[in-house]
Amino acid sequence: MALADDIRNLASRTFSALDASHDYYTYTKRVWRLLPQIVKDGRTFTFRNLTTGTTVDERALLGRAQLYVTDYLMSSTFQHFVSLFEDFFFDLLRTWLAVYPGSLSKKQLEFGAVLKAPDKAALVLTVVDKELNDLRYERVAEWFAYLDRLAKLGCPTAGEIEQLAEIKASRDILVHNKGIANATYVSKAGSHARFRERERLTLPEPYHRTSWETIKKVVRDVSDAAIKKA
Amino acid sequence: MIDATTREPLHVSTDGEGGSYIMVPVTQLDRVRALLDANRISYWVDEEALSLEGKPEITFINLDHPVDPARVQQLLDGIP
Repeated sequence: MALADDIRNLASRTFSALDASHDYYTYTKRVWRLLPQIVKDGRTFTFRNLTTGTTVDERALLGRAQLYVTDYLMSSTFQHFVSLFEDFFFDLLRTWLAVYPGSLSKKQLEFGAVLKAPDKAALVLTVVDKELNDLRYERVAEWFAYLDRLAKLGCPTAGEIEQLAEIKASRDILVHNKGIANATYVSKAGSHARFRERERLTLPEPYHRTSWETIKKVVRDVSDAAIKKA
Repeated sequence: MIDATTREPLHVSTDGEGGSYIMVPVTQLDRVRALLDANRISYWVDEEALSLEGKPEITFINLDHPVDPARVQQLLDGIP
């Protein structure tokens, strides 16, 4: 029962964080969208960033508004959605493996780690963390294949896994390749690839929303299935 | 094309680095979309509309990066 409760709490925290992140995106964007109206109405102002020393008036800020909305805000919240999904996924695996560590029984451990561990639970978590750290660098399809071998949840669908793979590949390009699609992106995104090599990756709002919805659905389906099996 | 709320021509904003956009009254959104679609202009529309101090709702049409804003302005100007 404790495992089911832990998964329930993990899912609940993830849902709240996903909602908060999308609210932040939506309401921040709405505030930015007020700016053209305010400037059109003849309001004037000056802002100074005391950290960088830059100053903007209403016209200069208006010139940055579209970049801030369609690039910075869109990209940062999209990356946050993906981070929340990864946190959920690996926290779920960690929680599950801590209770059912049988699949790790052949793993080797240095004797020093045994001596340092205060109890068996800590020892198990040392092995689990090492295992999951290795898994993190695998592809999304591998993540779910691992989960399936472990818990046989029967979800998400193959199509959803492919969608998530493209979402994760997009996030990796934004973080590691200045937003320019490369061969790794094309390979990881597979049939869902939105760009070819050397094309600049964009995040139109419908894609941003669909990514959020896909992540939320997968978190819901996986956590529901895991609770039933716990 | 004239903005039905301000009586001024619809304008493709090109100021700044974040790409071009058009502020459109929601009541004219379908007409502008039809024009862009007919000319295979790539774009996406904000998923919310904004009304300031009770004025008619407006929304933003965001033009994708390869799109030439001058061409879109020409298309808009060509509609009475």
